[in-house]
Amino acid sequence: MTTPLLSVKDLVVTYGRKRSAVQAVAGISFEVFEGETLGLVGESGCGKSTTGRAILQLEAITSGSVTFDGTDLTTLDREAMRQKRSELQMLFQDPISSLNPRRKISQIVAEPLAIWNRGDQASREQVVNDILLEVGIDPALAGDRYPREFSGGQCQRISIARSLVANPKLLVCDEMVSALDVSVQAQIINLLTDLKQKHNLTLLFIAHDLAVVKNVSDRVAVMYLGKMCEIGPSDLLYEKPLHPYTEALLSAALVPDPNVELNHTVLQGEPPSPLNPPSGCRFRTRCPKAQDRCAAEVPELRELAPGHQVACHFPNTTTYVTLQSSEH
Amino acid sequence: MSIDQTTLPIVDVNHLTTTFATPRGPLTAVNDVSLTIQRGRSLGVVGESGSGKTVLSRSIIGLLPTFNVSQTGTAMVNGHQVIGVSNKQLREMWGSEVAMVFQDPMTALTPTKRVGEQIAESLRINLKMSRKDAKARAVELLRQVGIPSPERRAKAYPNQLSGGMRQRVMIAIAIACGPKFLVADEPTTGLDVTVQAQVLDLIGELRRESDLTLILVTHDLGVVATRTDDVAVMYAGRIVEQAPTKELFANVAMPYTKGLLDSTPRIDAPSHTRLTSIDGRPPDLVNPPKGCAFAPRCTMATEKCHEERPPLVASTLSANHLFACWYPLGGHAPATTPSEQQ
Repeated sequence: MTTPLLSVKDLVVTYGRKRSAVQAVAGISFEVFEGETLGLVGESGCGKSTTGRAILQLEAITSGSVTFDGTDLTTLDREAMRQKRSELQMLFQDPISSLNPRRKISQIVAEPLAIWNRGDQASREQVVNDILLEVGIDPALAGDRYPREFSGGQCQRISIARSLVANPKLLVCDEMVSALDVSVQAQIINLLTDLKQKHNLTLLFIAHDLAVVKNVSDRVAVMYLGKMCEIGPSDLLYEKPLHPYTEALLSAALVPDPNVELNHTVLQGEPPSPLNPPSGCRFRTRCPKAQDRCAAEVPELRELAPGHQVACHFPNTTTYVTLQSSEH
Repeated sequence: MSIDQTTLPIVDVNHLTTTFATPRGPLTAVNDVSLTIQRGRSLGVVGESGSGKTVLSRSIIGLLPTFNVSQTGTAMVNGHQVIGVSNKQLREMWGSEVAMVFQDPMTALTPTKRVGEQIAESLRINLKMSRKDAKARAVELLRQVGIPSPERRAKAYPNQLSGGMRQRVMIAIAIACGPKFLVADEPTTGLDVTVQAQVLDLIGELRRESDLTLILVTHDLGVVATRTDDVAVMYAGRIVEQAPTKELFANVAMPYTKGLLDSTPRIDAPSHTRLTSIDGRPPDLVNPPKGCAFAPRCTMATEKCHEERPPLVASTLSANHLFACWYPLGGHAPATTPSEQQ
């Protein structure tokens, strides 16, 4: 097994203090290997965005470690982290507001080069033009324009160009296609897939759309209320979910086909408040399989099959066993 | 001597055009749309941002601003004319006969009023209920839309409720006076999948219980496929394809509809399935293209498509499958101009 590019261990992020303290991320561990795309899914408030921001040290980490390329980022001082940051870049949901409205496109994309003092004026211009062409924006036409003159999809392309210009190793994409129409969303997903190959990128792809995440990811991690529920290879996790929450999520997702039967196990209610999370397993209040043990004991993430981990006392293993035996 | 209202379509729209005056010139958001909806049916209106789906659904119930808007054509809803009628006349219909569920319940609800009062308000105005009766009925409605401990929640302000709860409150307000026709504009956009399923199930239950007619405006083909009887696909202000849902998905005629389906990631497709995207983006509605509006993005377009706009015609394969395309897919015969038909 190759060593992971990014390794997150027992990450805890707390917002607020004392009585109003919320553990948005309550001790999660996962790894992202070089060249892979790890999808991170979950409903609003599950802590997926906080996780992404905490990896880039954009949120203060309460405890735990984030090891990137052999360095624990949580131990770095400000300047050392600043130096490291060119290797980790983030893409945001709202592409228009994440671009400075008063700067021209060429300035926006060139800014990382200026910050890192890479090359001279002429070589920077060349790099910017090349990367803009790569993301499908004509630098001759677009370079002197402002973000407001572009559509959401084009702004997302410009954001991608800006993030790639500093040659990062890891991209954290936070809901980067959720605000786009499907036809444009498909353009951006395809572009990202191509650029990932070409630039040898590693991706942490955070999104709530299960179909999008499955499409782009090699492995998928599912979060609920600040905890990791399940991590596994995309196709396997979607076909044979081990965690009852993953199962419920998947059954609620809609397929654009009127002949597919609607048989979702409708989860009752909504996630409880993270201010006062349930004891033991955090999903137990909505779980159809919950028993006494679930309230008493926090389930640890354990590996049930190579690469497929689950944090549940009563995982859906029966289907798993039959799946494995049928493969032999 | 009066016509039996129950056999007539509840919605009958003819050549409806809605144009907004903008600083850049007139923008035709809905262009020559005709459609009928039979009682008890649900029609899904799909399209991308700016395709005119929201303006169409609002035009049908007369819910548009009065300034900078001009409308032609007719729209009859439950026997009422909607176009060119004063708000005072429309108010007789709003709430009691037609109701709307808006996309963003946080902005559609009054932030400074308790949700119970907001539900009671329409009961008191439309049904002339007493304050006390309306209050009791509001709690009952909250219970009906699946809000736990409704007595307590009736006293809550919108900001104290979650997004799913707020959408349930919106639905409670919409159904309060027993409307016959409901327009739901992206009712589950922004909600998590499990909550989306709950809200869509709720709308489905209400439809079955009270024989509601529904227009469901959405960009999500998954929602349309599983929750509607008929679908209208909009592009650049026009309906470009319309059919019963099963028929549409089984035999798509418009390259645009096919493009939408092919660019949608599917949960039942293997990981890393390459998506077929539609290049370019929708046309500027202030300066729409001369021919088919989709032609600039269509891989099958010919010179004819750029020059001549195809009319919306019924397929030779299925009379209730309409499409507007010179080169339809799925074995449909191409659209013909009226002169060719003769």
